[in-house]
Amino acid sequence: MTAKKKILVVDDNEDNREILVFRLKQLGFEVLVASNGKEAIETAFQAKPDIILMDLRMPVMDGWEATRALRQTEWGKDLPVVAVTAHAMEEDRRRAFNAGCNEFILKPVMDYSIIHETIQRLVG
Amino acid sequence: MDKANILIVDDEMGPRESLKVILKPYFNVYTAERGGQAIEILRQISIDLVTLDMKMPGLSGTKVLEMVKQRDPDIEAIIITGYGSMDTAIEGLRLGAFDYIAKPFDVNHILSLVRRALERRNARLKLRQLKAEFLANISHELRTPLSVVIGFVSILLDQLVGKLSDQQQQILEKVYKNSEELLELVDNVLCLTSLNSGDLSMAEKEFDVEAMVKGSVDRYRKWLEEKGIDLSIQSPAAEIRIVSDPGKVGRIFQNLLHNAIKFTPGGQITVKLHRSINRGVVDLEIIDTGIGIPRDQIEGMFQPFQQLDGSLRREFSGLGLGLTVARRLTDFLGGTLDIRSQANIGTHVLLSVPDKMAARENGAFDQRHQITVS
Repeated sequence: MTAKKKILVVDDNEDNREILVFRLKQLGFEVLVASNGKEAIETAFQAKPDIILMDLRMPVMDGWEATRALRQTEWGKDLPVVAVTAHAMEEDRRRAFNAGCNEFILKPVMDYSIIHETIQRLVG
Repeated sequence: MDKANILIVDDEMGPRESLKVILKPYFNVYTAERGGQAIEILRQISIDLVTLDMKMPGLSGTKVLEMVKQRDPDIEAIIITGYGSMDTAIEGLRLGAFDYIAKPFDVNHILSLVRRALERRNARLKLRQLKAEFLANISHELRTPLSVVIGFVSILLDQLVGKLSDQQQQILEKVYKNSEELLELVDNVLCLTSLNSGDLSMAEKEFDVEAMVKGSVDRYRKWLEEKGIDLSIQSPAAEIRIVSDPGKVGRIFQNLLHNAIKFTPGGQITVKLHRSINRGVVDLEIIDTGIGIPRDQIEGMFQPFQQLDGSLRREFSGLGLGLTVARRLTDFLGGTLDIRSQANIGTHVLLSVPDKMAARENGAFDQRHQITVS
């Protein structure tokens, strides 16, 4: 039996975290959470998730910075990161890809099959 | 702060070189002898300001100014006129030049003009950046709580927290639908605001058109079921991938689809996708069997806040923003939007989006800039 894939959900908004955790558990993933970029890096280092769903705008350390920091590390440079954000502006999309995010998903997520498919594509 | 890039365009070596000497200590200076050469330089280097001799052989100064502004309206221009040619000066100002100066010119005068023009440019760019940041913040603030509402209601509706009674289901569906409407409204208002303040930029990304269409359709799955509308997508077997701005194309399509569903009480909606290699576009058609729009009102629909006649206003609530945004965004992308409709029979919308990949491959210039250089 294959182990469940591990997903780290990063978002400063508790409600958003709760919704994603709910949905991702339903899809059969093991879900970890962090509430800012700094926690994300710490948790990712310890738990080695298969993929990170990263909100961009967060206090302490934002998603762009966290992704950039991740990309500097040996263990994190190839870790798939999907930016999930309410931000609809062009500039943020560009910044996300420049920081090293693999994909960009707009909140609110209406269709979880897209997230599922994206995750499967990136994680294999 | 980086030195500004200035392009001096003058066919006469004397004035060209002396201006270069004047400006060189303060700026990065490039020179061109002809309009065609100037445009070529603009294509390669990010130029902040152009000094333009208005009397040149080949492309006229006025024509070159037009082309510069068409390429990038933010590039400042100072036009240099010959003795007694007020008409050229006036024409240049009308086309957006910062100011004019006559030959032979005073060194201090031209330096002062250049500095003031660059100041104006910097101020404008800074303001635009502030506006964009403001909009980004507002967008985030508005969408976040909405996304939470939609997220939790969706979980309830999918019966992931226990089974729902019929009545509970109906009520939650109304909550969901209205939240979605609100989200669309927010997105459209923000889009229109960006369009009005000129803050939009065009992304160039390759994407799968059918996937985008399916994504949009999926968003309305519940609504379609509720209204008993049968929606089918007709597309060629081969994938249609184009290079354009997926966010904007998605928004246009979504707004058009939203309208089709809104104004179709029940029946059929057909979405057709087709690539036209000749025209270098992708055609997206939405054909519905709804109440239709009388022809004389179709143009009126493209004005904000207008929606058919008053009698329908109560039944079909909501601002007529969707179509306005769709039309404005389509123009922005250099595409076309064609609407044909017959009252009580249905509406046929044809959206044609230029494929930048096709444009690149044909060696044609960027769609917005229909310039031929001599």
